Amino acid sequence: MSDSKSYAGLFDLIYTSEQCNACINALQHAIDASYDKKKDIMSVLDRYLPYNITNAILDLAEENNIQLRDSDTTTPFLTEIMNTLKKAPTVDITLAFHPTYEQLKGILKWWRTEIEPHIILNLQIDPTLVAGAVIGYNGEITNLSLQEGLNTFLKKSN
Amino acid sequence: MNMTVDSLLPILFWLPVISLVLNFILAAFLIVIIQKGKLKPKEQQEIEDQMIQIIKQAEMRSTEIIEKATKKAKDIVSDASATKQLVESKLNKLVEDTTDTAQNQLDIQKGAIVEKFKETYGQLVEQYQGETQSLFANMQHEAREQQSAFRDSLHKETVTILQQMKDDAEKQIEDVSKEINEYRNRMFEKIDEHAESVIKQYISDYFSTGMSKENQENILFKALDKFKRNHSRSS
Repeated sequence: MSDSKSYAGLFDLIYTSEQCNACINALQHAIDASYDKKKDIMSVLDRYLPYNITNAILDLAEENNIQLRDSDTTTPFLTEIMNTLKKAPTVDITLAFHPTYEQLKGILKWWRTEIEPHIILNLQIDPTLVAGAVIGYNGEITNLSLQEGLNTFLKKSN
Repeated sequence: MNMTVDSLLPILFWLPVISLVLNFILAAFLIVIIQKGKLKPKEQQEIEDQMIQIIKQAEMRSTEIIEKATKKAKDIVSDASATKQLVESKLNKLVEDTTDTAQNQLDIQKGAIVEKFKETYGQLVEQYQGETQSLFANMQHEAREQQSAFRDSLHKETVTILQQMKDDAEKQIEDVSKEINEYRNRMFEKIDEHAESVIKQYISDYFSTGMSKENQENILFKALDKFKRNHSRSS
């Protein structure tokens, strides 16, 4: 199960770093609850996560024959998912506009198709960029905004 | 032997006195001898007579001597007076002659001195005139040289000052030009900055209001494609 492709269904639902952090937080609560036999792990996940993500985790457990009532197997399972999410690659991307949900999915799809399969978007908005984006990836920042293009153009024209 | 009246007067005075003193001493001597010798009256009378005779003779002799002396003194005095007059006349003549001679010599020397003075004075005047002319010539020459030197110095000084003024003016013009260029550049920079901000603001306003989300998305994906190309080249 260490292959990241096993988490494809889960990653399909997690786009942004906020969502990823919320999922990690929920998994941590679920791990904590796994030690208490009185608590229901599903209820804990439902409390902190959207239902589709909770369902994706249940699907993933069924695929791997994990009984969520068995703490001996559930705890390592949840811990592995949590560590996978913590280690997920991220890209810092600053946009000049607030994207729609569809646009956000399109952006994420592009990244996961063209650059990294399970990449997570750390999204920020800066209207002064006018258009385009500033991308921080693998420790490098690339300014591809219209503001930067305009500055370059004006410098050259001077 | 020439004797003057002044040298004979003491002799004429002392000679009778000495004669009287000698007679007196002689009489006293006889009296003492008579007293000590206890002569006899007769002999004493004789002696006294002799003594009186002797005294009379002595007096006569003294009178003669005095008269002779007086006469001789008068002669001497008269001779001395004559001699004196002669001497005085000779002396006067000698003095006159000497004076004339001296006067003549003085006149000669005076004339010589005057001549010498005239000659020397003339030479001095000539020398003075020559030196004065030479001095004037030297002064004129020095004045001309000083005037020439002053003119040259003034010319050099003037040229130096003008050159310095020219250099200063050029430097000031250069500085002013530099300041103008710097000011112009600063103003252009400000204008550029202002123009940039205006253009940016205008473009930003235009895109924020006039650009649709579809256009934003298209631009974004073009940027992502560019990133991909850069990323693939770098990796």
